[in-house]
Amino acid sequence: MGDGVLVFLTGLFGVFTGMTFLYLSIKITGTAVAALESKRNAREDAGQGEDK
Amino acid sequence: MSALYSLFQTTGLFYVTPGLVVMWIIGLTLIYLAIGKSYEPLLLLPIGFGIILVNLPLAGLMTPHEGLLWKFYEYGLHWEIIPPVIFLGLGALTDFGPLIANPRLIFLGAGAQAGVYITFFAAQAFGFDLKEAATIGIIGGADGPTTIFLASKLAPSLLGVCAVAAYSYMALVPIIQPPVMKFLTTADERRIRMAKGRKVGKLEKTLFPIVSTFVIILLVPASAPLIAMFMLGNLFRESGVVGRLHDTAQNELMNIVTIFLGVPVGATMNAENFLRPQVIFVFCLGLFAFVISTMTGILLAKLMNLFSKNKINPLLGAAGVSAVPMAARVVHKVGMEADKKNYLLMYAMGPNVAGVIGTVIAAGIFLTLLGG
Repeated sequence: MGDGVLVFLTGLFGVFTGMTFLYLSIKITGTAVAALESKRNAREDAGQGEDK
Repeated sequence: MSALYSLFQTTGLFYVTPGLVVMWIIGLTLIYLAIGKSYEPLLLLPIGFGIILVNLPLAGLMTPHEGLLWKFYEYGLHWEIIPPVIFLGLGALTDFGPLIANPRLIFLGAGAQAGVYITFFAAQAFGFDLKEAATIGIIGGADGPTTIFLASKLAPSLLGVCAVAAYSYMALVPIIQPPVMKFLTTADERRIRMAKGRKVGKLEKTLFPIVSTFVIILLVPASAPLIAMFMLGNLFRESGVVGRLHDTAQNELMNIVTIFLGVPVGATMNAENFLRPQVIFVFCLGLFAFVISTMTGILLAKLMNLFSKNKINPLLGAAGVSAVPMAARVVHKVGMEADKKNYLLMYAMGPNVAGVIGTVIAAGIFLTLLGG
């Protein structure tokens, strides 16, 4: 039963840890992509301004 | 007369026992459920047929090294080929957009896995050893290929019964889950409308399978066979540059491996292996796992609402069991019963696909701790 408790606790902790890391990686990727896209948009806007 | 008797002895009829007849009836019942009731027909039909085949005396289809179905089993399941290939197809079919748009819903996919571990604990109390208890617990994840993958590694003798239990209960999600959902939520909670998620771009969707592969496999290496193929299939989908591979993974390849999955799974269920009291406990514990996973998902959603300004409709927690997309559809239906204009389907797909990842992580942890 002692091993069972260990597997139970490690398992629950492991699943939540895994999902937390995945959550953080989604957040970080989202922020990085948003920053990249806003930079690209700014560059495009600046390019259009120069054309005018 | 004795010549006739000798001839009779060469036929299978001579060796028919009541146990074999019971197994034929079980196989025919599964075929009936698949054809007559459309309960997971893609799996229950070949499983039912496999059960009949392996219980035909003298056919020898599961004779080690010789039988046809033994070869399917050995090289398909024991060699870990088929479940990961199914995951390749699942990845090609999965849209992670709803999850990326609302990432906090990922925790509901984790919450539902608590049922897996609670059932693991309960199975031990019923006398199953650690490996068998883990195999029974994973039924609560409502993910057939993962159940088969784990059973083939930890408890091959329970493979057939656990697979049949998992697929049967997955087919019964619309019957099992709604009473639990209504019991744990108030009508007001079921009416909660979710805040609209942001639009997810192509770059983010393409990066998701790559980043997830790094994160999950670095944390739980034992989950690599399933996660790697799942994310590769998804990368085929989101990259948009390998249309032929994407198409093959989600259609032809998936269909072919489904045939080679169902029949040998059924063929593991011979009379002497299946007709024992333990099997009844496996089915009862499998149902318990499903109910508890649904409950823990909903309760986690309610717990998150205590600390969150943007309330989550707690019904979404029930979609944390995998069973894609059935569990999400059930959430949508129960939500609509409380408020006809509350469309929860897209939101429920988030925890639903998170549940698939959560179940694979749970299986990987079992493998790491209990060994192959």
